[in-house]
Amino acid sequence: MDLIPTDDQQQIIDLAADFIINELPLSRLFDAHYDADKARLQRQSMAQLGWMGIGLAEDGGGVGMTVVEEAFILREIGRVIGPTAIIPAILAAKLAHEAGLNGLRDALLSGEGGAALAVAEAPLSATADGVNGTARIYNVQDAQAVLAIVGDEALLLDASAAGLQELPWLDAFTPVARRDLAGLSVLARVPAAATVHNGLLLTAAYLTGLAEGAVAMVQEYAGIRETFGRKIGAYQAVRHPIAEGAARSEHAKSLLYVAALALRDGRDDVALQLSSAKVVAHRAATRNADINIQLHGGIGITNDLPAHHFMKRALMLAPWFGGRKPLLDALLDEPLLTI
Amino acid sequence: MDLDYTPEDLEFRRAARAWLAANVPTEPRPAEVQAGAAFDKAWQRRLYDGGWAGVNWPKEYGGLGLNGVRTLIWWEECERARAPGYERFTIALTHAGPTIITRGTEEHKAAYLENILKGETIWCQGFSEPGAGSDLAALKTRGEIDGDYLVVNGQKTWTSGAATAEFQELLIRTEPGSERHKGLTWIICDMSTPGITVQPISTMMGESDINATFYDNVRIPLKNVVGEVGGGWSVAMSTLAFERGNTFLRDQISMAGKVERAIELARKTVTADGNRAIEDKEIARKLADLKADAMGLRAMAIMNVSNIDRKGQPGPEGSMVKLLVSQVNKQLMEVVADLSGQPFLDYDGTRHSNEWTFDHMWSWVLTIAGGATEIQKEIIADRVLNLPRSR
Repeated sequence: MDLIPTDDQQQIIDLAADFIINELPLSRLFDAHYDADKARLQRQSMAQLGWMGIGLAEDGGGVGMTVVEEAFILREIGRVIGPTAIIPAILAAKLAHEAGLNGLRDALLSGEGGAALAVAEAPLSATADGVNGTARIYNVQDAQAVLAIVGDEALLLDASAAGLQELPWLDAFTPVARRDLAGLSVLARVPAAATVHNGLLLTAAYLTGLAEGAVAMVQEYAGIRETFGRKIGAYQAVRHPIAEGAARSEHAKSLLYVAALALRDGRDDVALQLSSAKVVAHRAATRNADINIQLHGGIGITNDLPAHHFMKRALMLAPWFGGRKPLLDALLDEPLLTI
Repeated sequence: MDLDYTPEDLEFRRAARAWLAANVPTEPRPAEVQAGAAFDKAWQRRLYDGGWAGVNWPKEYGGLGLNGVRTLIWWEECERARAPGYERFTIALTHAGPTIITRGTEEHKAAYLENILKGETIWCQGFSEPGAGSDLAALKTRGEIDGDYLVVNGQKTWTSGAATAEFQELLIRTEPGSERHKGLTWIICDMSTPGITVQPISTMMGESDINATFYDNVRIPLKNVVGEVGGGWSVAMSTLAFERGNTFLRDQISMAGKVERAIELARKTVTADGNRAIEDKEIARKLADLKADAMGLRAMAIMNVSNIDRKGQPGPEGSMVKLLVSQVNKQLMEVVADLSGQPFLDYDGTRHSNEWTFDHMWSWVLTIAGGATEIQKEIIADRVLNLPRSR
């Protein structure tokens, strides 16, 4: 029983943090717009680090680590509101490997291509030929496959002929399309549980990072900005919400680690831990995004600061692999195995 | 990183479970003050006789010296068996005893520690005053040296268990004219000393186990001073890390079980509209949300014991636990009040007449006692986040 990363794991976390400070500093978002070429280069440099295949076996071209290390990386990416495209890419690479689609797998692992995630607008239905129903399709840039969860199946759909048109979209750094999935041919289909669990973990990890990044940003500002002759961090009206935000982050992080280990080890309470982890991390990300904007004052609502991107990203991730309400309805009945 | 128990951990769990199953009292703890204290002493004595007293006290002082993980297992098993908590032994086991272990003389250790573990002596805390609660360093109760004695005059308040305690950890101002953290002394006060008057304070729960304590020329031997005369603040703070790591562990572990009992209550409660409370989506989802929170609190408990076992002290999560536990508890009680409807008000002034109603009121005790929520946020802002100081 030990929830502290080992030295080797800490090294992975530190290396990821180093890369992100250099390649994806929060300052890159200051008054910035989505740049497709930059986004492609980011994907490829993350792929070179092996991030698309961290948890994939070495004989599949992956790094051969586990979902725990995936969670570490996603948490670091979330801190700086990094690209979410890595989430469907990691999951699609595993599905492609499982289905023997080695070309697709290798394209995803190398960063040559990407994978998109379909999130249903209304219940989707699967037939022998494909999927019917309209979905938002996230991270369509260079997408070779679309990952869709339909009932108890996870499907990879062929995106090459999909004609995915980008929508005007609140989160300007995520290219999103919308279409009926009918007509996209099925590349692979497997039982959904493993993909959904893995997706919940990666999303919870990203959201935990968002929660921590938002607190770090406002914490720094509270130590610099002065009003009424004092640093604003000295006022309880400012420091108390930040303290609460830090507690929410720590709460989410601890639960994330337990959920990651439960998934890695196939523990009986994995569904309860993962659902709880996403619910708690999403709430932490949402509330911490709020205090980050609010306590910055007027500058918080401008494009001069990336504070609003924490809020927009948390909103965007809300329905991924199960929204709050279905997760709550499911976890209510999960048995407690710990006491 | 793993969630696994060693075979020795599992053997420890099995032994704890078996012992608790055979020894946990079947009758509830009496609400009446004297009978409650007698119950606590009997339970502590039973723990001692069974070899389970002082789970995280060092072995050399008669404890079990359990590491973090075993302590966690112990509290999980206590929760499963619905075993009594520390109750009136809270101060003795989690504060006064550890302070004596850390800062006391050999004479102090010999005189007091074993009697605590044996369930013979209840301790209370004489820190807060009417003008010094959250701002403890504003305390004014004074002690003047007179030969081999300190003569104490003044008033303490919120003294839980004062009416039944044998001893008190007492923090007083011994340097005339000193201010704030300087000039304070931490001393062991025998509650039977002449000049001490204990006056119960009636509470909203209807039970009166907290008190105002008055000192009128109370003569306490100087040998009872722990640490130096004038060095009381550092003595009072010396067990802070110990407290952070351990005091709320049981509450953290208990929360998941408490939420589950509230879900059970919602399943069987028929509300005014004729439906089961759990069929109300708003209630069901609030309970599920709190269940997720409780899973997070348990994860923080594991993080806490991991830090203690790996690094010797709790990490930042140690400062945040009390804030979160007490808030989650209060939210849970609000949902229970909501789903219970009018029967929630059936209450005769004692906890056993309606445990949920008592717990609802007790939720304010948890957000105020032992460092109010607002003080917890100050601690996090100062010590974890290093924000500019507010004072």
